[in-house]
Amino acid sequence: MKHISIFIISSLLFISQLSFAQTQDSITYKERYGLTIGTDLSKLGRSLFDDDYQGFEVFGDYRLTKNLYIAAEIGNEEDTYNEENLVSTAKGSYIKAGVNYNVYENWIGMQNIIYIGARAGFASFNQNIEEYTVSSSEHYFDPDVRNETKKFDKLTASWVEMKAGIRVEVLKNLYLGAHVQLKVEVSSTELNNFDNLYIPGFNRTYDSSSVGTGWGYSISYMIPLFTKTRVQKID
Amino acid sequence: MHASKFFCIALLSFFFLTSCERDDICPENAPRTPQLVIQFFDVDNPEVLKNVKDLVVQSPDHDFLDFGTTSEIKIPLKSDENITKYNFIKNAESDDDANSDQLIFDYSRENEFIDRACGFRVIYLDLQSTLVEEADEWIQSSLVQQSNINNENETHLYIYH
Repeated sequence: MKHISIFIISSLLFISQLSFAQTQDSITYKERYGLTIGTDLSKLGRSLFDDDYQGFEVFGDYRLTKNLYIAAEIGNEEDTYNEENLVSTAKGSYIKAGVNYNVYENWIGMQNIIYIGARAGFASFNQNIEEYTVSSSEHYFDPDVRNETKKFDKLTASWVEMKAGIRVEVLKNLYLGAHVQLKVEVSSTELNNFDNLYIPGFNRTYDSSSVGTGWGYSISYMIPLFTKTRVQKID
Repeated sequence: MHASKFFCIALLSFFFLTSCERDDICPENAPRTPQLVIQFFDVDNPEVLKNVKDLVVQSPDHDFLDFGTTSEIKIPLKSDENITKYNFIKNAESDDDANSDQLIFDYSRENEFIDRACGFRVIYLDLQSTLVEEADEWIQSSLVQQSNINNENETHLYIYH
């Protein structure tokens, strides 16, 4: 009887040490740190449903401190501007790198993120005008449709991006996320007698400004590397 | 449970956003391929505009353009070729007095990108105008005023009759 009660009490004490130890006025818990890798699901979806788009993006981020992550994205996109008077395709790759900062105070044991991020982006791409119809104010002669293709190669562009997003742990170490982006073009190759209608990684450009937007949703997995023990005081 | 709800909302947002139309529209006053602007002058009084009675203009194998009685017209040039021929018919309403003269316009062309909504337009360079010789001509001569046509704000060709 005595041995059994000692055994039970020590087992209970041992088990309680495994989860969190409760001292008099604080809780000790563990934070998971690791490398998260994922892919943008919205680009995959768009590639399936949109005939004028093919693209994918993979990303990774690494937790530096409790709330600071370094992050990078790599992707490839092919987007066709397909209108009655102009058909043109932009195709290329991009890379973005920067940081995310978590502004959400998690409950103990949870690893959800609401973040603000910043990125620098760079794209290398080409554009190909496939067809255009000469614009005219009258319809006396038949429409002048030109099928001569015109290629613009070795184009580059760079921009800075602000990002805001959310990442929710749905299964252990598996996350679903969503984000929006606001970007400003820093530089892009000047074209002779054409414009950069779309820049991979930046999305479509606007004639009157260098601002762009983007959004997406993602799935990712965090490879756990180590944990940090934290102590939280209880009032 | 909350994961699938989140995913449904995300998917709905995705479909909503991808169904939005591009809002780029080419405005009415945007530059387009310019037409040839012609003014008719009195051959005896070259500074004075002279109306042509019941003027109808036609490019061979195309429609007739009825301008009525006027001294200024705009007609399109072919943007896919370096040559356009036009028949200028005076007194077109009359069976007996109708008189058709032909002018041949030669030029070179250049494509110009406007913007993504408006696309490309053509501008015409080095315009030359040749009157086809025939027996009974009502047009005496033509004079190119502006050989580079990139807008309709000025007269490119004077015709004397």
